[in-house]
Amino acid sequence: MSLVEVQSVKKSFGDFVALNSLSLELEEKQQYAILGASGSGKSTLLYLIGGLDKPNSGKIIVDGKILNKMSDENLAKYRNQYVGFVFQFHFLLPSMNCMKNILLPAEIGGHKVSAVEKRAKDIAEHLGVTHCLKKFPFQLSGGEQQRINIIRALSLRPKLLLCDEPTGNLDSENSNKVTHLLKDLAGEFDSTLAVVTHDALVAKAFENQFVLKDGELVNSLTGSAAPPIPPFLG
Amino acid sequence: MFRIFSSFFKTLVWDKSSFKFALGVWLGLSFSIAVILSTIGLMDGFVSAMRTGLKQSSGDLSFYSRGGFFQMEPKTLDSLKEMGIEEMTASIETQAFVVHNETSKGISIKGVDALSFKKVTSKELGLEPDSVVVGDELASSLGIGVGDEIVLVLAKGNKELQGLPLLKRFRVSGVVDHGIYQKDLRYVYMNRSELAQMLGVGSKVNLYAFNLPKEREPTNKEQRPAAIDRLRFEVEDTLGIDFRVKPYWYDFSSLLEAVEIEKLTIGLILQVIVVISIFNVLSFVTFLNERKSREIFLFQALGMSASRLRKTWLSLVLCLWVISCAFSLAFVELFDFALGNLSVLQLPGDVYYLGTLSLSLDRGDYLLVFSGALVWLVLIVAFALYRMNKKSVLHGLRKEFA
Repeated sequence: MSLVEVQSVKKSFGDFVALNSLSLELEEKQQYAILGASGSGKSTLLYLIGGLDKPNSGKIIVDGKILNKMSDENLAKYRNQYVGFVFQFHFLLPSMNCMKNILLPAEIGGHKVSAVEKRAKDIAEHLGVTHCLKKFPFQLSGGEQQRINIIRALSLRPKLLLCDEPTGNLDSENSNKVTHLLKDLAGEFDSTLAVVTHDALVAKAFENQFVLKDGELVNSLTGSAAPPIPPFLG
Repeated sequence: MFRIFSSFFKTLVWDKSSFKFALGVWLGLSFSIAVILSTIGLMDGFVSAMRTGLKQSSGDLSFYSRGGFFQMEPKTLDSLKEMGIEEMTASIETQAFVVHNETSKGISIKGVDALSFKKVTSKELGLEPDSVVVGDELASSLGIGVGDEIVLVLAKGNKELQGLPLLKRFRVSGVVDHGIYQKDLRYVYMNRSELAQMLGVGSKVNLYAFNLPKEREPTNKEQRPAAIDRLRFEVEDTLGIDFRVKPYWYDFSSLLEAVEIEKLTIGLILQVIVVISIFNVLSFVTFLNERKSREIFLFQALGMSASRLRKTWLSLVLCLWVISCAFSLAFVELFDFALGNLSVLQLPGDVYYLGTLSLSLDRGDYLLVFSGALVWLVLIVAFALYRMNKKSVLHGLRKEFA
């Protein structure tokens, strides 16, 4: 069953066409890698699915709801309750400790903080970063920061976990760990996972792959077949 | 809501440069509000000190005859009593010279009946026979004090040598302060009977002073001048065309009116200062919006809507306004203290009539200045926020990593 349907979506920034009549579907509870070089439109696609921007034309339907037609208020609710974002640059606020960073989506959405806090502690224990919760982001290593970022994304049990180059700042060993961590956690939380990456090795870990080039879908692989490495990434 | 507001605020001013900018903007706004408040307070203080000073030694109203010295008819006194005017003090006012050592000065002599004068003006003169009480500026300019002797030179009254002035020596029995420089420099008090005898006017006087009867006192102090004016016209009707009734501020009425107009004009002009400091607020908001675009993007990515973001910004700016208003009060208090205690801020009395001033601000003044600043702030910042929030959520992210 499709959770996300992207139908003939076009998005441009001035003269630059980021997405050109792109269509694809993400199935519920499935895990996807969206692969492409810089400027291919993969991050734009992720943010459009995440309700952070609206397409110039076409439709994005999530769970039967058309995102383009949602009001600003409803789109904000959608981002808060439906989507978990993991960013490349961790995006942890330096002014608050890690636990407060994790609780931020709950505070913004007006959720019961105590329940979220308990869940966050459980995930932190699972990821081995319990000792980081009271620390400030600048006191943590890159890998630890990314784990905190993942806990924040999962804190409200999102249906859709969207990751923008989550391993972009990590070495290959940590990159591999984080990729598998995301896959495991998304499975545990029954979330649909979409990971945007330019790294073919990261993409290799996913059974489902979409390859984007110049704003168009050039390849779509589903199932267990090991994907080839596109020449522009090699 | 408060937690989000607090998190947002901390995020914005977390780094040193943003914090310093915020501090500067806050101090700037506080200071501009304080400048307007102090200016208005200074002018109100001037008017208030002027009125208080003028009232001292004269009562609320006084009347004199166009024909000079007069004697009140019992019938007229009864009519005034019927209007509620029970206490009156009669006095003789005339011009003279005071001579001490080799210095002389033109003065205004007030011959008063100490008892009734005190009842009307609440001023205790402590007059003794053959003595005078002088204004403190006069005492200091002549270098005299209690116990010293001075000579009064009156133009009229020398019966033995017609056409020559009358000179008489008096002992200074007191020094009095009116709060008005001109009065302190010119006024000399003596017993009315002695002055009448010197001038040879018998029981005649040339001025009566009285206060607004208690039953006519308005509950609101602001309405007192209007009540005094009403009584003035009634008394004028009773006394007839030969008499002229004047309120205690009469001699300075045009100055007081000018100050009121000036207050309004300067208040309006000084709004420019507030507008300038609000542009500082605007540049602060714009600066943060650019510098913290990544953090603001994060708040939005995690579920904060554009309208909520706008409201949070506005709340932040309103907080800045509240704190600035509160802090401006401290600035005003400081200025008031300096005004009363620092000699460098003392007014030149010969120019301003008053030696010292204190700020006088009522609720209306605070309301006017604070709400004026708020209106400017909301107008300018709300427009800027509206324009800023028209950008897409991704704007911050794209800008950051462009």
